[in-house]
Amino acid sequence: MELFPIDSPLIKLHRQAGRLSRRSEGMVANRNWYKAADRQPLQWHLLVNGAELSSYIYRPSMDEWAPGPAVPRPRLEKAGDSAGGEQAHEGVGGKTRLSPESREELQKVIHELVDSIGKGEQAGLGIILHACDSLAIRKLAPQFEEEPDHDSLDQLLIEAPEVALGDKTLVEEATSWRLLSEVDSGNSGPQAISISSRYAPIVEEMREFGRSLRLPIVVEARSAALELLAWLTSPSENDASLIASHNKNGSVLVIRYPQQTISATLNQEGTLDSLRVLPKAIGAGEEAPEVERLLRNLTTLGDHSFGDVIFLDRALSREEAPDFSSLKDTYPEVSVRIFDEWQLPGVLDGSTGTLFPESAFIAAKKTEKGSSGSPFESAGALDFYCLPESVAARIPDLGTLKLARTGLYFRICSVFLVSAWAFMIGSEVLQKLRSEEWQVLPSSVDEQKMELAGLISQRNRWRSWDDLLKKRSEGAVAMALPLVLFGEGDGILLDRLNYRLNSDLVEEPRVGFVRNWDFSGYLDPERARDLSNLGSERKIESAINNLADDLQSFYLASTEQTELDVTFQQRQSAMPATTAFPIEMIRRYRAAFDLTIRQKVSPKSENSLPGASSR
Amino acid sequence: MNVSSSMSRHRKAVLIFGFVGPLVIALLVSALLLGVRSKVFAKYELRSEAKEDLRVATVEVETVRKFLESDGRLDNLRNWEEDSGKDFFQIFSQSLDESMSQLPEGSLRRTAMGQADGASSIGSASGLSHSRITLSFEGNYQAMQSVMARLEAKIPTLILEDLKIVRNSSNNRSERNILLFNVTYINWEIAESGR
Repeated sequence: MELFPIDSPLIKLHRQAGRLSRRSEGMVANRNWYKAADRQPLQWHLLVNGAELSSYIYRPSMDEWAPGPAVPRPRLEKAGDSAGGEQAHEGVGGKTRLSPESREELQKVIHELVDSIGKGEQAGLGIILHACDSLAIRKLAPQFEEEPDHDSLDQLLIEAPEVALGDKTLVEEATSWRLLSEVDSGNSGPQAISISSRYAPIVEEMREFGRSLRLPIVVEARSAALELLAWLTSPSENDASLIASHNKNGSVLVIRYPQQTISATLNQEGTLDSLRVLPKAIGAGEEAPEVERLLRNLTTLGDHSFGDVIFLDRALSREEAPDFSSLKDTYPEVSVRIFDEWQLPGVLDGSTGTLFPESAFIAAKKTEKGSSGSPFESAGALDFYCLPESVAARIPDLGTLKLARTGLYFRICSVFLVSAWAFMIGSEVLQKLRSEEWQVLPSSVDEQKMELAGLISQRNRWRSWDDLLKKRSEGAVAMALPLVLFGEGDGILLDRLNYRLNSDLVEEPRVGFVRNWDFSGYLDPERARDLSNLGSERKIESAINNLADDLQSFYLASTEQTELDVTFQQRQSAMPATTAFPIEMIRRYRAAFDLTIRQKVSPKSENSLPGASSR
Repeated sequence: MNVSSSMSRHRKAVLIFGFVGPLVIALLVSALLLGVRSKVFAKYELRSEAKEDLRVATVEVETVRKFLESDGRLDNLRNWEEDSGKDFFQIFSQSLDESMSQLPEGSLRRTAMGQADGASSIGSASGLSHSRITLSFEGNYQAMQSVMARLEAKIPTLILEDLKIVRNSSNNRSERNILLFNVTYINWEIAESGR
C-alpha cells in the first residue's frame, strides 16, 4: 500500500484519505491501527539476545503470557541480490531485506497469529522486538547539546543521526538512534541512544505484511535494557523487594546481557542518574574485578559513593552466578545483591523459570496501575525502528479518515439532493416546454399583429374612403328635387335652376356644408294657387325626405344636424314677349316665382365632410 | 515539517475536496439549475402573454377581416385605391363618353369640358386635395339627369359642386326647349391623402 508524501498535491491526499477510509480498509472502524504495539489485543514479543530469539505471546485481556510460535532464524539479503545471504547480518553498506524463504516463513507465522484473533473491528497484532544486544550511548554534537526542542532533536536523530551526532562516518542503516532525554549524565545534556538496525528489514516486512492484510500489525523495536530500567526505577511499591533498601548514598544497577553490560546509577530517591554501556558481558569468574572497575569508574565520575549494588543477571544460569566476595572485601560498606530472572519479584505469578521479555514487567505494572509512573517510562517504550515523521505523517489520522468518510456521505447526499432538485426542476421545465404556451412563438404573435395592423390599416382606409365617398351631393338627385316639388304637370314653366354646394362651418375634423337650390320660373294662376304653400319648410322638408326615400339617398333626409331654410316668392309678372313661346302660353303664365332652398348640414352630422386633419 | 502541519494538510485536503469543493460544485449546479429554471419560467411567462396576445390578435383579425369581407368592402377599397392611381381626366372623359353613348341620339350634347376656374368653397374649407372639372351640355332634362347618375355611379370620387340649368335664350321656338347645363364637379384626389 503506497502512501503519498505529505507534500503531494491535495487532491492526491484526498483520494488517499478516501481510499483508506473505505470500510474494506478497516482503518476507520478498527482503532487498533492507531494504537501502540503494547496496546494491541494480541501481542507477540520477540526477545533478541545475540543469536538467540525467544518468542512469547501476551493477551492483555486475559493478562496471560504464553510461549510464542517458533521463529526460524531470519535470512537477509541485499536488495537486488536474489541469491540471499547465509544468515542475518548487519545492513552496513547497503539496503537489506528478508530472503524470500524467510519472508514466507515469517508471513506464515503471522498468518497463524492473525487467524487466531480473526479480522473483526477489534483485531490487532502488536509485535515488539526487545533487543538485548546492541545498546549504545553517545553524546550529541556540541551544537545540539543545549538544544531545548527535544522532539526536533529526536527526529533529527531518526532521520540524520550523522548530523545530530556530528559523525559523518555513521552509516544510517547500521544503528537506529533516539534521544534519551530522561538521563542527565553529568552536565552534558541529553544523550543519544541506539540499537542495531539489523532487524529493521524484518520489522518493515512485518509492517508491510500487515498493510497487505489490511490488519493493524503494529511493530516496535525496543531496548530490553531500557525497558528493564524503566521498570526498576519505577517508584511502585511492588518493586520494594528489589530496590527497597535505597541507600542514602544511592545505588548501582548492573544489568548483564550475554553480549553487553548496562550499568545505571540511582540517586537517593531511586531514580536514574546515569547510564553506561560496557561493550561486553562480564563473564563468570571475572565479575568481581569488572564490577569493581565499574564501581570505581562510577564513583569517580559521579563523585559519590554507593551503598548498594544490584546485579541483574539476564544471561547466566544460577550455577554461573558471579562471585562478588572480593568486592565485598574491597568495599565493606557496599551491599552487593545479585538477582537473575528466576529471582525477579513475583510480578508474573507462576511464570518463574521462563526468560520473559522485559516488557512483561512493564505490562504487569500497567495492568495493575495503568502506568508505571517512572520518569524513565517513555525511554523504556522508545521505538527505535519508528518511522520518520515525514513517513509517519503520510498516514492520515483517525479524525481525518472519519472526516473523509463523512465527506463521502456528504457528497452522496449532495449528489442525491442536487439530482433530486435537478429532477424536480427538469420536470417543471419539461412541463413548461411541453405546454401550449411554449409552442407560441413570439414571431407568430408579431406576424398576427402585423396582419392585424394590415387589416386595421385596410379598415381605416376603407372607412376613410367610405367617409369621403359618402354621397353628399349628386347631380341626378339635385335635379330630381324640382320634379318632386313641382310635379310634371302643366301650369309651371321653370326658367332657371341653380344648385350649389357651399362650405359652411368648419369644426375640425369635420366640415359642414350647405346645399342650395335656386329655382325661378312662371306659373299659371291655377298652379300658383296650388303652390302658394311652397314656402312652407315642412312641405319642402317632407318633399326632400320623400325624395331621399324614393332614391335611397338617405344623406338628403333631414335630421337634427340639418337645418332647412326656404324662401318662396310669387309675383304677378308676365313672361317677356318672345317668339319662342306661343302667345297663348305667354298670356297663361302670368305669375313669376323664385324659390330658394338652403339645406344646412352641421359638422356634427354624420354626413358632414371629413377635414384634412381627420385623414 | 511537523506533525500538526502534516495532519492539517491531510485534513485540509479532505475539507477542500471532500466538503468545500463538492459544496461549491453543488452550489454552482444549483445556481445553474436556478438560472435555467428562472430563464425558462421567464420565457414561459412571456409566451403565456404572447399566447393571450395571439388569441386577442386572432379574434381581432377575424373581426376586422369579417368586417372587410362583408358587403364587398375589401373589393371596394381595392377598386378605389386602384382607380385613385389612374389619370382622373382620362377616366372621367371615358366614363362620360360611355354614359352619353347610351342616350338617345340628339338628346344631349357636350359643348365644353375643362378645368374649372377659381377656388372651390368646399374644397378649400375641407383642406382635402381635389381637382375640379367643369362641363357644359345642351339637351333635355332627363338625358342630363341620366348621364349624371351614370357618371356619379362610375366615379364615386365625384361630388357635384355646382349645377346651372337655363333655357336656351334663342327666340327660335324649337331651340327654346333646349336646356343649357353647366356642371362643376369636384374630384377628391385621395390617391395620396387617403393612404
